[in-house]
Amino acid sequence: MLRAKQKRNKDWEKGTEYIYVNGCSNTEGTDLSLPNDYDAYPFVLADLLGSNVISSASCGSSNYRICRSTIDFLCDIDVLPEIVIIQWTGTDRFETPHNFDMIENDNNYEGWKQHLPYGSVQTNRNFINIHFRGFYRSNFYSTEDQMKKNWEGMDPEIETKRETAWATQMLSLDAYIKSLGIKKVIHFPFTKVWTYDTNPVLQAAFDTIDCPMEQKDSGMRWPLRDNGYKPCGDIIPGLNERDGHYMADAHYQIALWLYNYIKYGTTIKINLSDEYIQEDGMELNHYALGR
Amino acid sequence: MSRAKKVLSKDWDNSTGYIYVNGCSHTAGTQLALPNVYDGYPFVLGELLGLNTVSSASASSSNQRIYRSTIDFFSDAKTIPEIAVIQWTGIDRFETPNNLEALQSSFHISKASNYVDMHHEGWYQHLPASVFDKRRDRLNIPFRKFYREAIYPDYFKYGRDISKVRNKLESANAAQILGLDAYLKSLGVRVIHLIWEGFSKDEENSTLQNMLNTVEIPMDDPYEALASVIHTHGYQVCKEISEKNQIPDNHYMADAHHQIATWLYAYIQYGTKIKLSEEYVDERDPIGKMGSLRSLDEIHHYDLGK
Repeated sequence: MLRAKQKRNKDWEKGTEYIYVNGCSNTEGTDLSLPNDYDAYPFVLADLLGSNVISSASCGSSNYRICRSTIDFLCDIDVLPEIVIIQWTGTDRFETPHNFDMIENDNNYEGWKQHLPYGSVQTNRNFINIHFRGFYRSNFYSTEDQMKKNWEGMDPEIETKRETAWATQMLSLDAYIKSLGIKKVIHFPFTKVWTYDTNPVLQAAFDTIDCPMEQKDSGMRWPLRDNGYKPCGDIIPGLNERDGHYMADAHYQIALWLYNYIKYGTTIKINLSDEYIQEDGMELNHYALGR
Repeated sequence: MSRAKKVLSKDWDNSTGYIYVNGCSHTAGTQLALPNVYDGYPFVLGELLGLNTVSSASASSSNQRIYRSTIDFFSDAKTIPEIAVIQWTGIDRFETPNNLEALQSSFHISKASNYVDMHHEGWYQHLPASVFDKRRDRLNIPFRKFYREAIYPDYFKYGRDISKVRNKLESANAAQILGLDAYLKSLGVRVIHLIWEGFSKDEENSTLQNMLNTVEIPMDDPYEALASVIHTHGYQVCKEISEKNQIPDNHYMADAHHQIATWLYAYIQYGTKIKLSEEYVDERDPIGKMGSLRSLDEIHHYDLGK
């Protein structure tokens, strides 16, 4: 059966320790933002730790895929990793199974279609998604205002549900990995967590898991912005929009932060100003709402 | 925030512990098949064990809801139950969040709740292969059309052979079971899993094999569907026509629920596993293993109008 794709470090040393990483495009990197795959933070971190790495991160992943494919991976291996790092992605995403007779083959997802209801890139990716987005948006988010509200985290009803579902994924995946005897499991979201202050399931999850962020609801993106890293502004061929993913310099920074956290327990700090928050919201509106 | 609905034992006794149960309609019961909710196996089992019962089971639940709402419940529970019984449902089902405001404006109706099932904590449960789903509400009609055309273009073939997607869905369900099992065990709870529709004997599916070797399933044959086992022991489903859906109810009734409770009690107390009846001559329609899809005639009759 189809397994999650695995990318290993170039100089893989058989029989030695390794770290396992899963996540979305923010961990895998995109062609434009990260032309050399091995500049991605999992590989840099492995170099720093003197370890090997296996990454199942894949662009467009939903948290459902990240959770499922991590368990799949751990069920199928002889040697367990020393450390597992899970980068969680947008909570609006979900997956449904492919029927290859009908749908163009997308080998990155082990036969599952990743739905990104708000992802601006996905509109052009294939026909199934165009139909689905039309359906999803018209039935669940029938107006542009409602979509904006969701993007900005202003719809507590929807955000609370999604983030609760994600919190349950974090809790169970964490328990499963630890039940195998893997002691170090690090989780971090890439984008801001919207309902942390009011969501007891999310608070229970962050009380249980090992998250390197000093401010739990910040996500990795905001410390990057706070430290001056810029996402790739190149235009994606065939699409009239920017890539928007962080580049090699930011990946090296993430690797260094994670290294310091693993070695010395130094948390990843954030010092956000209102200006950053405002800018972030505007960027989301501008680049992510095209139909 | 919206928590999973809970049904508690009628005569809750503060001096004893409780069992926690989650699942779909086969655990919650339906109004036609189980007019008295306390005839449901969770409550009968609670009585047999001398424990209280908390059930978050809900008709039409997807496995995603069962998984989510169970962890949601435990993250909020002040006391931990002695035992958790998780009944897993049809592997094709999944959920997406409801937006009541959008549904209301989309359908130009004054009360979105007319079309939204409020039992699912604000999540819409999608049942792509269910004969019931089409008539449940208007929201589901465009979705089913989309889903079937894009993913299961040949519905009859899907009913007979979903091998193209079945191994993926079973693998995903196995991952859910492993994750939930590990979480509940990390809290010190004994967890028993009931698999309503069974699994393929797919020895190459390492996630499935790993799950079957790790978790506690009270069946003699862990691949076997609990629905089939009940059937082989002679229990019949309710054939009354649902007023709302105009189709037979097709859920097991109080006699079968009492039997399930007795089986579970014997398993918990003595380790006795649940077996197919030895007297039964296997007449099962392969479609029957897919739960709601009872026969091609039924599908033709109740489900194909677009």
